[in-house]
Amino acid sequence: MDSSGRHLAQITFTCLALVTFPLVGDGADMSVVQRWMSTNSGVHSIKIDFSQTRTMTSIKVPIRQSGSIWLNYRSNQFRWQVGNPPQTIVTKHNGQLYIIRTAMKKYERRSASSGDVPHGLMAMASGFPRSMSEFQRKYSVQSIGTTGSTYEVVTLPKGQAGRGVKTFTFILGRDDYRLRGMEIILSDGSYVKTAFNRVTPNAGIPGNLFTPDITGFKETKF
Amino acid sequence: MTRLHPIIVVTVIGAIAAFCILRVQFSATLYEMLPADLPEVQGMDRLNRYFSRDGQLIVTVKAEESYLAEEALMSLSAKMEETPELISEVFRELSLTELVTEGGGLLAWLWMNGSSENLAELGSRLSAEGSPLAIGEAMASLQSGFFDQDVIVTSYDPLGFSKIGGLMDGDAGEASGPDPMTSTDGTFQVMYVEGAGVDFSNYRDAEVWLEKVKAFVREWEQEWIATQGEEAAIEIGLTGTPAFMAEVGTEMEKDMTISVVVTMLLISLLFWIMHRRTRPLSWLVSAMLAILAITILIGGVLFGDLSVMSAGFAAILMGLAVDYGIVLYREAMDSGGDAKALRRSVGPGILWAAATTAVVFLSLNLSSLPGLAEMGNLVAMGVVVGALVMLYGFGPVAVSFNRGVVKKPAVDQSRKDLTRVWAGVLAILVPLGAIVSMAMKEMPHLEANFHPFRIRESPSMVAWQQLQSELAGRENAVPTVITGDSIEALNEELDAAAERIESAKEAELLTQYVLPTAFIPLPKQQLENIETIRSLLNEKTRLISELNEAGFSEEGTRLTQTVFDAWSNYTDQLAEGELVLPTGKLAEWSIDRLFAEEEGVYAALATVKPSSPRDREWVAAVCSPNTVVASLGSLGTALNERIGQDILRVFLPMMGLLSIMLGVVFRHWKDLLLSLFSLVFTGCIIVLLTVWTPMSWNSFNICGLPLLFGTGLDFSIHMIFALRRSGGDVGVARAGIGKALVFCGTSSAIGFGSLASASAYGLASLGVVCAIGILANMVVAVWLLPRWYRCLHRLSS
Repeated sequence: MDSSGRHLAQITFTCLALVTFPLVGDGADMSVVQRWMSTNSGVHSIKIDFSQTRTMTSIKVPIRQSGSIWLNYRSNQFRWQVGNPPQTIVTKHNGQLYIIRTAMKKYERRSASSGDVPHGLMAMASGFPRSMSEFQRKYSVQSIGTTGSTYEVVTLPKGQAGRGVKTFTFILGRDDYRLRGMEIILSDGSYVKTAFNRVTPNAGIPGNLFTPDITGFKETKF
Repeated sequence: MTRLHPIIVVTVIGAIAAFCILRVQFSATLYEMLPADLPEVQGMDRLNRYFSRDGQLIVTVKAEESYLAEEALMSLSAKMEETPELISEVFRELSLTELVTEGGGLLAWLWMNGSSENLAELGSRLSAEGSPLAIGEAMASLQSGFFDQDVIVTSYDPLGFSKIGGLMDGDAGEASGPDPMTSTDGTFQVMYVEGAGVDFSNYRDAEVWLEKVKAFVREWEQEWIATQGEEAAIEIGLTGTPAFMAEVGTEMEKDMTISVVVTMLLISLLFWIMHRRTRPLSWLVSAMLAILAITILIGGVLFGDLSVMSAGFAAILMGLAVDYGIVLYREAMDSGGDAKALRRSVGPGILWAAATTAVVFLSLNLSSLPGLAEMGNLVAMGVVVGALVMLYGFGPVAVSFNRGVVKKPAVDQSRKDLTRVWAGVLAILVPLGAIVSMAMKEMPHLEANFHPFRIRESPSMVAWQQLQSELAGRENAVPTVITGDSIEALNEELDAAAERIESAKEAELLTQYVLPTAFIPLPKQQLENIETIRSLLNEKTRLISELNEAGFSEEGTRLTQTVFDAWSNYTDQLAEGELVLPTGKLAEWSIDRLFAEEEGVYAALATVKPSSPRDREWVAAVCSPNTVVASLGSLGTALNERIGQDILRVFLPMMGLLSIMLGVVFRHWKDLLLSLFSLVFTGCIIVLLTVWTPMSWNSFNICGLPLLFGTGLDFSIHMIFALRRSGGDVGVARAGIGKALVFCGTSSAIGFGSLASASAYGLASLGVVCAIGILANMVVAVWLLPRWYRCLHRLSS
């Protein structure tokens, strides 16, 4: 989409529905979040295998995908991919976000700090919050509840990341307080649910994983 | 008649004057008091005429968090929609679902109004061969695992109707896509509210409506805090045309009322201190009120609505007109004759003084500022009315009050004052100090960023400035209005403006610009595209069916449906020869802000961002008779340039002419020199104040210079002639004319000084400068000039 098209798209679509949700604020049990943050100590890298379900109001049936995320906190790099073999790869390195569609042999570059970073990916691209202060700087907690064996930390991303997002929920294990998944509900009613099937802390990550070979790929604007 | 109780007299005439003041209609259109030939002023005029709605209020919401701002705005808008008697329509950012419903009409129109090549490309995409590919790509995008804005857009627009090229011509950079209603972080949001139930062209009605809205918002805020808690506190701002109009109009009424009341009270106090009599004072006050009432009535007939600057005329007039009453009263005390004799003795002097003062104020017509000229005309008219009312109304009263009064002997004030020693020292020190101050610190200059219609303590202006700074791309963006007397002419003007703007961008005079080319109706283009659109309409059923089969829900096909429905309507309109404009709430919203038609003139709104907003080089590069900019940044510079020319063109020749006249009056070089030196001395005092105090010059108060020059000459002439008559006796001169000058100077300074609290910054600064200048003139004429006179004429003590 060229810049003009994007402009119209913004005029027409960026203003997502206004929503209401209960305020919890100071009443939430923040010790759950505190304990989650403490599980991050000593973790320098992580690999997560996930499955994702996207339910969109404009599509009749939900779309299911599985994929993996690699995060290297030391080098501030990450890679996200869906499909096997990967259909879409998103990597972050040198302050740039690369979105690669392998089947189409096309890729797009975006600034990793821009507002164009997709919902959810923003959380991953900058790494999940690793300290209480970072968490509170980025999210405001709406409620913290329990469902079966998990805690549900319902938040709203602060600032630009929160625009168009109805809720952003972190799902934590009640036994170990580790992140098990997340659920993003957008203002138009669409939502994406990501379940972390396997989490491998301090996984060995090959150096070239964050810089996939895009030789022969055409740069584009998706 | 003089036996009437003073309270009855003042009450009756005061009530008449108050009635007249209340009937005054002020013009809240501030740019009308500025030079109409400036492109910046024309820009404001045309922006107001074509793109501003009298009843459209902008409501701003600022919160700590974006979700609070969103929720608050939604709650407030929902409550407002429930009060149709107060608010007819609310426009806030639409939800995605609403945009899908409302956006189709605009998109369909843009394709139909756009280039045939673009439409052909769309036709190819929608063809039986192209559509499966487009739908497949859209579905691949949705299945890619992404969940960003583009994916969501694609899910509602799989055929890519929103992928339209050349939408906003220009080089807007980041400014091309800012959200016009929400800040980047979402914590600041706006909505537009269309008022109902009153005539918004009348600022008094607008004020009543605005107060109701404020009360409504306060009530909602209380409910909001009660349900959400103190931590959800938000800040609400109200701005836009009705807020500005209500504020400016009521502030002007307040300015006039306060300045008149303050002037009356202070002048009354001054009179009482000097004469210790209340009955003549009540008649004097009544005469002044009568003068005000008559002048307002005549002014209303001659000028219609008064501008913000004219609000100050009443106080100035009071300060000047009272002098004639005082002259009559003192003469009646001294001479003791009847009213006819009184008029014979001081009438000619008063009439000449009134004529001279009127001419000085009429000279403000030579200024480039219509607002100042109007004020000058009102004061000029008022002083003539004042002279007549005082001579024929207050004169007989003054005679009747002074029958049988024993005149007190004059007290010689010359021996106990310090001016005998200091007059000579000050004559050297003050000019020297002024020169050294200018050399050491700075030369007096006009404020570069002066905004003549800045209203002090204006909540609507504060809200407007917050809106400009919070919404991305709004800072330093200058609305540019292009006009033509037909749509074809408008498009030609737009093309010409685009060339000039692009050249200005290449010359680095502009950093960015946005042209509304795609939003201006092109009837020929629409007719050219009609056949292609008709052929596309035939594909509708097939395309909807393909989308359904691919898995898109009813919501996912709604936009496609509305685009085809709109095309169907547009082609019918075109077939009937109508000018086709887009339909739907979003379409009206977009087009109304970029294209307008009023009384046969078509207008388009572009935006430019100058590299140096205060410079005027970019204004010259962009503007033409049909392309003007509503630039506040360069307006201050333009006014300063214009006033600088005025000073050279008007003030300097006037000074030369008056100097020649002085020579004729005095017929003595020493007296001419003294008179001119007095003016220079006063000028030096003002320079010292400008350099060492916050007092500054701007394009409005600089126009007070001719007034100060006139009063300075007036005072020095009176004193020099008194000194001539008394053979240089300072005591006698001060006891006679000196006392009168003190009263006149103080009362005039009170009149001007009462404007210091005026809402309009320009008017307030004019009042301050003139009050200080007149006091300086008075002090120089009464206390210093007599000593210089004796020194120059080598008179012994």
